[in-house]
Amino acid sequence: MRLSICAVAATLFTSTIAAPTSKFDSLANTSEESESEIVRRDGGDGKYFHEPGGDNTLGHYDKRYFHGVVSDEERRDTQKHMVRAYLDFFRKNDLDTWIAHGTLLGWWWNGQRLPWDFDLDTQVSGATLHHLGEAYNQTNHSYTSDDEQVKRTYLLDVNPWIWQRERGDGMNIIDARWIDVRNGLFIDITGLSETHPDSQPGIWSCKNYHRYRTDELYPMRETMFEGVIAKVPYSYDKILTDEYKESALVNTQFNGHEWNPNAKIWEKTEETLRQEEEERKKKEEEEKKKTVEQAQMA
Amino acid sequence: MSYRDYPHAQHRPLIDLIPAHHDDVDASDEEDDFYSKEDDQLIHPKWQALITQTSNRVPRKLQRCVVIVLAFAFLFLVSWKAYFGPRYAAQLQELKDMDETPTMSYGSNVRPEFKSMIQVRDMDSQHIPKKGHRLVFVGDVHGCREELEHLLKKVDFNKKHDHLVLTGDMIAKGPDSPGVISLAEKLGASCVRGNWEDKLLLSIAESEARHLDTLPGPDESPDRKTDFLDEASHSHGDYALRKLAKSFSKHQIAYLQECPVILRIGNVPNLGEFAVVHAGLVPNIPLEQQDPFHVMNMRTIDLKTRIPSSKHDGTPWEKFWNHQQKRKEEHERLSVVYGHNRKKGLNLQEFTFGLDSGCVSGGKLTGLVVDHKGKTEIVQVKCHQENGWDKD
Repeated sequence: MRLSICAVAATLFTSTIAAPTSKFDSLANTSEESESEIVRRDGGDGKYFHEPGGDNTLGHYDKRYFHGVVSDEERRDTQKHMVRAYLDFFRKNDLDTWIAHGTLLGWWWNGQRLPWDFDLDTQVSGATLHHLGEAYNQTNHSYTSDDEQVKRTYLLDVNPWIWQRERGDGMNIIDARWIDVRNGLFIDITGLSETHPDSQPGIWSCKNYHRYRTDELYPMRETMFEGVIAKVPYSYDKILTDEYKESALVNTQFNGHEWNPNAKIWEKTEETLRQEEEERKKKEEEEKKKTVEQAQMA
Repeated sequence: MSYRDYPHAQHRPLIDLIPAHHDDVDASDEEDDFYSKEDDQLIHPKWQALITQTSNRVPRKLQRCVVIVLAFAFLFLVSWKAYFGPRYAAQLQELKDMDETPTMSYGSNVRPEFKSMIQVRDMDSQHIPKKGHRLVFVGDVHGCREELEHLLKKVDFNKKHDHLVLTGDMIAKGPDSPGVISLAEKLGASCVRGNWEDKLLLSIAESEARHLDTLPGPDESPDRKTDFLDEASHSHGDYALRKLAKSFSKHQIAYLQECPVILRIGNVPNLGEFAVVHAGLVPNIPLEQQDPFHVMNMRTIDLKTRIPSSKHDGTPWEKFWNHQQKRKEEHERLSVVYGHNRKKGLNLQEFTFGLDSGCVSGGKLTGLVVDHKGKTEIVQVKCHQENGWDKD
């Protein structure tokens, strides 16, 4: 009897130390030689997905495929094809996904992305997420646009931390990414799970504490987004006003853009255009100066 | 010290203790001073005399009146400050908000487009009441087939020259949803999509779509046999709703799919334009542009942003609607027949007709009958289940 208790205690102990908290892993690396041979992807901080920087611009590229910040035009073109490829892939493989956060807000305004949005957001159920991890992790998907003018490749990369459905240390709140391998722009995929089915049944949560009730999400509604079939949650209005407040549905000026009620699109305000023009001129002048200086040096 | 130390106290008569010179304590009423006014009074004697003089001239009755009036004035002031004032101010503010056009207002987006959902449809104009013909609108039936039959009998409904219009939520909760739809089909009734029809049809579409049946969750096939308790998902969708879905025939589901979110009735003689929705409409947004979710769910409206909500507290959408219609030219006005708001019950206003009187929860089933002259009549039947069907 005592022996069995000891055995249980021992397994419990080993399972505790085997729990891959980043702190413990870095300790294990120094103490055990065999562990140190494994090439760690997280650079020791326990984070799976890395970005070249933390600000609004750099925080939205995947570090592995980043070669520099792209222009607004390239970003928009990338995102348009990226989300079409994503939604088509999920539909063709009978996988359920729906659009979320800023992407859902963009859909609400005109069925398109918000032009200033740096990344796109989608959600999947926890079960779908695990299936993605098992069947599709690290898979490449080639895409050809309807007019066959655009050919792209996307990587579906699933975070190995998807077994953890709580926030944890906050390093791995993004569960998966759909990455354009040309420039590193991506779609953030987050899974929703019922994290506390006993005390909060029917409450679905992502790792960043966005919570939804089952009857707000299901049954989903089929609609169009960026010209392809997409799904949105049942109570899309409530989800939007809960997250962004009522003002997000009435404010017609945002982030240097203005809603054109006739054309039904978000346009850059004249102020924004003027500023961009000034910045462009400044850059040009600086470059000119540089070339002149270089010529003088030579 | 003991008691005995005071021998005098025992022997001296008490009378001796009274002072002999009591003139300065006693006041004699024979002196003038006794009747004169005291010096330290609040009002100067001169003034007091003046007041007595005038008050003697005013009759007692009038004096009493003044006191009563003053008391009432005080009471009014207090109640105004505490209760009526703020209410009045709120009402004024509401009126002002209803009249003002907000700088940024809801509804300039592209209306969300959904698969297999009809936004607006026109009722066949042959059903507009002519002589001897009537329109019968019936609120949320919720599967109470017997009560619907009873109501139709009571209004002496004849399929040949009367037309039935159901305001949505015809199904769910009650005992015989398929029966209600069968009856509606048989009578050639018009309908609108309520929140329950919406939920049911979406749920059917989802279960018909190809899913990975192996995955648990609200999207899983209801026929799934195995159930792993250690799965992350424990909500397996709304099985009750799917069971309800299975009780309908293909034909009945096709009927429900044809119900638009908004049904335009057309011009009813002497009453003007009519439309039917399940929950409500936002004023000053064209019918084609109305957000279908809100049309099937709203109860109130935020006057600052003009965003509707399914919450009960706030300005009722119908209040705003009636206010706006009165400001419009006669030919631009639109009357709305709706259901959905069981809590408010039968709610008849100039341009809105709320017909959900809670049949399924033990209330009544309400019909609005409109004839060719534009005469309206409310007909109700009591519902069988005293405590309602939706309680169990």
